[in-house]
Amino acid sequence: MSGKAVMARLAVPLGMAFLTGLYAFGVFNIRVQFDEGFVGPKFLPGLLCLIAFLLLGKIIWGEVRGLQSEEVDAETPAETRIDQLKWRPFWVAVSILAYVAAFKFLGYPLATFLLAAALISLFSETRPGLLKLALLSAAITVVFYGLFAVAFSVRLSLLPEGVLWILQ
Amino acid sequence: MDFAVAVFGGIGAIFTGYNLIFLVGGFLVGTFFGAVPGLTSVLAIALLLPITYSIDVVPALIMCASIFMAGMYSGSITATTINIPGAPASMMTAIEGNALMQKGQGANALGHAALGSMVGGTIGATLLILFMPLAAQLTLLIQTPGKFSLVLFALIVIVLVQKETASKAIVATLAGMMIASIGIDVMQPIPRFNYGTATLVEGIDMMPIIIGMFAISEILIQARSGGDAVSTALVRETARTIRRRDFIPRFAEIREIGAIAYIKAAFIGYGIGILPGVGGSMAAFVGYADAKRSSKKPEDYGKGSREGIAAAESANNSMCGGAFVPMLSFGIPGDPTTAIVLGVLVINGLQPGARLVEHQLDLIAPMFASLFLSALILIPLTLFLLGPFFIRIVAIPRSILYACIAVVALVGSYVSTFSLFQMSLAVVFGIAAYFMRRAGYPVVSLLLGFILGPDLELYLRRSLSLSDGNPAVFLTSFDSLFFILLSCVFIYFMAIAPWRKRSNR
Repeated sequence: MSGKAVMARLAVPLGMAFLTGLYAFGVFNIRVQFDEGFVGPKFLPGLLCLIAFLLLGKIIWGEVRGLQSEEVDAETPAETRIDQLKWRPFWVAVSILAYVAAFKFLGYPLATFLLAAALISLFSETRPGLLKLALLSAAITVVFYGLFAVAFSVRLSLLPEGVLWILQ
Repeated sequence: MDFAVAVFGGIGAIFTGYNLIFLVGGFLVGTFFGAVPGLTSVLAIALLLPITYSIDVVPALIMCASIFMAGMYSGSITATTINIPGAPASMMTAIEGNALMQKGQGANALGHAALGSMVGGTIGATLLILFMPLAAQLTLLIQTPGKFSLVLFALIVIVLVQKETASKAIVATLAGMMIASIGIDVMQPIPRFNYGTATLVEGIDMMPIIIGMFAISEILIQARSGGDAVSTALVRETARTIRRRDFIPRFAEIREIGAIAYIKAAFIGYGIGILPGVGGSMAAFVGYADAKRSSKKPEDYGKGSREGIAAAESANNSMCGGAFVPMLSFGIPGDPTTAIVLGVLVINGLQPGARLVEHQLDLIAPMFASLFLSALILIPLTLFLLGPFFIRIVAIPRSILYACIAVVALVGSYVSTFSLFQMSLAVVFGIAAYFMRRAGYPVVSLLLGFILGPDLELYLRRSLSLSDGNPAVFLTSFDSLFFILLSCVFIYFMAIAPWRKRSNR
């Protein structure tokens, strides 16, 4: 079984175990103001950590045993489609993170236009024409500005604050 | 009597222009999200949650209730026409409805699905209205140890319904409880798990968790899976064969199904809705299975049984009424949708419990009325007027759909508190939920653990404080003992008995 497959199966439980460890560290750092006896501010978090570690250990053990008993499957033509798609969530996540980072800097219209364009391109089976892409992205930007700013009276920054700051 | 007057007042309040817009608009949104495969009414309410910051609580609750009822019903549209359930609760309808569609009776099947939804939803809303005062009085009888045992029972049921993935469900629930413990302690004014940062002292809000787990993660999941792209040609051909006049079920068919079948399924759905974390798909399955078991023509099931459609739809729509009972009485959500509705209440400073029902009935009575009117009037009206249109709209290009969902989710998470931190949190939870869902960890369990964790800890510590640290209080208190025994019964019938049966084979 390849290293990638092992990582894929164990990444989530190991990641959760790591986060539980961080949480357990936090339990020790709780400063109690007054004594409530055995069951105080640390009790339930400590119990949650203990149960979580035990169960994650069981899950990890189960995954490891499962990996040992599995045979390597032959590659099938269908896997090509899956391979093409497996990086798409990554690019979608990058687009979304970039949108959050640039939201205030670029302002709602430009940031949302770029996000819409990126997601439409990523989710389209065939690459859309530039004009069609621009029109769809602009339409989405305008429609949801209308929903939030006009229908629900929510203030959205129209001006790119970061660009204005640079120009000052 | 006061309660009845308030409910009638709620019905009247709905017919003001502003509230009516939210009732109908919410119903249409819920119908769309419930019909399109890959989207759910839970996602619709999650996306609209940030908007509720900007509107009054009454229209917000009216909209949530109508989305809930619509979403449960509209999954039957694509389930019947193209054999892709719009919602998990419509899987049974897909089996029977699509079989009828293949025989050229698709419109008839849609009509029966709408009728079942209408009857079940109306009965569920009526039972909710009738029993809510009693449930509110019952909450006053339950003391602190009983409340702890009740919340524990809810968490146990949430895990038990996962069956095959119990360990992962427990881990997800624990993760939710851990996230909820970040911030100020439930009893002492001390920060926990802030790791020296001022931001985390405020705790983690429910909104970014909901947006992240249900919207952002769904976009990432769909990006990975390629989406359930629906053939446009298939949809057009299907819509062409559907005629409005065929939507109305024939009286002889309704008589053959029988009033008892509708009512029994509705009661089953309502009862299952009361159980925490169970949801519509379980209600539909149990209602369907019971109808098949007691049917005079069980051989018709699987080949286009109208009785099966009626039972499944009646049960899943009646579940909507039942799910509100534990949420309004105890703050324990009956399903993911009511978990988000609970968020709407909390955002607007309303606390579930007897006080909410007794003193703030004017705020929640319109919500009851919304459930009732959505089931009784909007379901049949929407099918008849917009049925063929909705069949076509499910072929909307996925690229546009997901771009829209992403914008609404992200901008929504920002505008609720004008905080980029909330927006960032939503993305972080979304990415985490994506990996959890791919690895088989149920995120609904995480959300319910997040909601119920603080209550569990508060009632535990308060009970022990009142009993001078004596844990026997949970066994000597009658209400607590009742819920502990109930938990044992559920554990036995849902986990131990099936395991013993499997071992004996």
